[in-house]
Amino acid sequence: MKTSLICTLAATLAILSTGCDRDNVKVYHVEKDDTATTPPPAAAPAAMPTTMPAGLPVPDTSSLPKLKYTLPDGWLEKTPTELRVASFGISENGKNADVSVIPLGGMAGGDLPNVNRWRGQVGLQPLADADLQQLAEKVEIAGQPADLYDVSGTTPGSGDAERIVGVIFHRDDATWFFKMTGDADLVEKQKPAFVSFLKSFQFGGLAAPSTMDLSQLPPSHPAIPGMDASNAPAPAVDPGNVPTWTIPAGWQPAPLSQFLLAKFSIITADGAQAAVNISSLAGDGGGLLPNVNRWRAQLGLAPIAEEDLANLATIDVSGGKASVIDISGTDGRTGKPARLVGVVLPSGGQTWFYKLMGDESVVTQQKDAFTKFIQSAKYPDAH
Amino acid sequence: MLIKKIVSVFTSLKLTCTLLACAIVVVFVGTLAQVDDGLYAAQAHYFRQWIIVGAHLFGREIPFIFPGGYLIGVLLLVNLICAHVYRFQLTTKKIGIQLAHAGVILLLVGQLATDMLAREMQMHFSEGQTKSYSESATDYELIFVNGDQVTAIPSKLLKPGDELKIDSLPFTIRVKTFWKNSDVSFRAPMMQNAPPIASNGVALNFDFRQLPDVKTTDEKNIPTAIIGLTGQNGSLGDWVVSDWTGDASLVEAVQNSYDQPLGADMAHNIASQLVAPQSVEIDGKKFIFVMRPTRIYNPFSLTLLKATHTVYPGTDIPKDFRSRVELENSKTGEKREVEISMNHPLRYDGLTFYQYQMDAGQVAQEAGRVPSSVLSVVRNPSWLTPYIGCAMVGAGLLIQFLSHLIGFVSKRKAK
Repeated sequence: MKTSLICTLAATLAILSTGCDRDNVKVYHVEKDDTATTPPPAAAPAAMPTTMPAGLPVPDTSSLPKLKYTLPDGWLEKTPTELRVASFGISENGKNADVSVIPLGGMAGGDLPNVNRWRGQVGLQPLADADLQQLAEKVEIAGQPADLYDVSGTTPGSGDAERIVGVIFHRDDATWFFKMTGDADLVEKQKPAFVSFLKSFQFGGLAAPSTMDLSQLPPSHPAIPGMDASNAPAPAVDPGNVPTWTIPAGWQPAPLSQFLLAKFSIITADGAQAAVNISSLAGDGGGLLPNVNRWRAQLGLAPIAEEDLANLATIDVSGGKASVIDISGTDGRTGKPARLVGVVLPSGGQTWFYKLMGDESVVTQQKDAFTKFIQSAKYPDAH
Repeated sequence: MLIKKIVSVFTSLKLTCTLLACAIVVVFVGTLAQVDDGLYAAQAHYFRQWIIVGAHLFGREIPFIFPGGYLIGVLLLVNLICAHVYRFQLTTKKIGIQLAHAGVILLLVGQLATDMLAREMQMHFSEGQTKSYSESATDYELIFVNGDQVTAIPSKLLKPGDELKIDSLPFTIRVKTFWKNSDVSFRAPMMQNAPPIASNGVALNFDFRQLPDVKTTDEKNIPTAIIGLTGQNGSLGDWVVSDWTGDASLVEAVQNSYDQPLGADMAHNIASQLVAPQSVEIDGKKFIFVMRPTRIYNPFSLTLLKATHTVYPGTDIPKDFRSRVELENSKTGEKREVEISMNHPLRYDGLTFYQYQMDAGQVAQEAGRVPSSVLSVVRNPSWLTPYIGCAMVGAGLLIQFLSHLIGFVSKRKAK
């Protein structure tokens, strides 16, 4: 009998000791270790899940500089979640409303789809583009005009009266969404407080966009050698060695992003905006045609063919002859009419890209200044 | 005197009954607790535990101190062995009862062996994909790959402040931070301006942040660590290693989350940056490193030929999940096709492959996804012990009852 007892104990000990082996470092050889994880293809179909699986994260906003605003009475600050940089709750007599502030880099999808998304959330039919402007109420955010959309309906499913007051504000290369949603009566009551909250809002301290600037490459951009964002190279020119220009009056230097050498924003008294971007790429920068078509795509225009390039105007500049493209269309990011004047200058083994883009009126007004600005350039290696 | 008392306690039937009653309570409470805590947390708190302190039931904390599964199991084992040794008589009359007891001992030891030795992994593949390894759903490893050599460090060894010196690596790994659960966010314009948490690699484009540990089976912990590597000539730099970059399903989730606000191309670019390989070069040797779910390589491979998900006509009710795979073992030259379906696992080389999850059929087709399948891969060397143990108990009881019945019947006949 002792034998069986010893056997049982020995088996138990053996089991326990083997079980501990799991937490040791292992070294082994494999023919091919597919270490690299590959993301799924970009052409993600619409039916794919677009939300994070349960338990997945909320972006870190702890490092975000403090936004400044006057908190209306009765609003409770909440921890920002998901893409929010500020979040508030309003509760009154058992009714609730939620206020969110979400900035998205550049391509936020345009105003119309976003307003229609809000309309869908309260069970309303989508609007046509022409109706959007009629619906917009003018409000002020940090001294700049913005469009407010007030939609009310019922929550599909519960049938409760719900109202969404949303504001879309375009600032530099980002689109900011301010949204109050909740019980229809409470939202209506809080609307004046929401408007004064917007007025008090300040973007103080928000520094330069880091790393990749999402707005630089639209979803439809053609492949440009050496400019693939997934393999983003450093600019071909040492940033400390950029050209010098005579900067026209009214142009404000703006924060740079990865692909840019310089950037200026132009804001007129009535709030109309345009931006000037200057970048440079080695060699032919991927070729004139893909770049022209990339710009055309930004305004929702169809690509042109190689032979159409011959029709492009040229201007004389210090580095040689530059091609000029001047197009008007609809800005894919804002859904608003926009004009783009682009100048491509191959010079000194690299290609310089100048882009003036924004509200039609501002671009028209600034085009001459833009041309003079380019002609004033002194390139570092031209001496 | 004391020894006699101890022996009488450990051989008593009262102890057996008490322990069985305790086991019933633990199973009942532990099962109810799964509603709030989830499977893994409840298993760890009630069953893989010596003493249970506090219970979480119906959303409330209940003060509760009770012997845990391990303590009850071990005491039952000791009780049985003691009784077995103490009362053992090698007579034909007692053979049935001895066999039944031995069967129960085998059941208990077998369960302990399962707990310690069994491993449940998963194999994810899409149609046409070949896999020669399975991955853990709960454990992670930091690997360094140089050529064909892989050094795998279990994430349990990554304790903050520790320095790991491993023979196969020409540098020391200093663990600066280890988060059992974490989140990731792209350092998008206007969103983050704090400096990156490490000076190299993925941290330049992504921010990582600690999250509270998850408790339910619906969620999973996603570990992230900040490591510093030091060679003979000094520091080589700091990096972030995270399962966010090494787990294809998480990368897909990140990509999908950016899909709607930023568009498919940009979401793809973000995901590509997330998985960009991180490496360090020292003495002319390049080491690529990544944190990923723990892998176990097999000496054979499986290729998913076809994943079939059929439903009852006119409904969405699943009728059948089925994976047709090709098994190839280059060592034995074996190459054959096998069908794995619900209740029809593949048993091969000590592993059992069960059909676990599936993304195929109409849903996948409409969404334009390549059909894929997940097999649950179980290695349980002691899988036979419950069968043998139950057979022994059954045979023992049968012998015991039959011997009594025969004796009883023969006595009546004699009268």
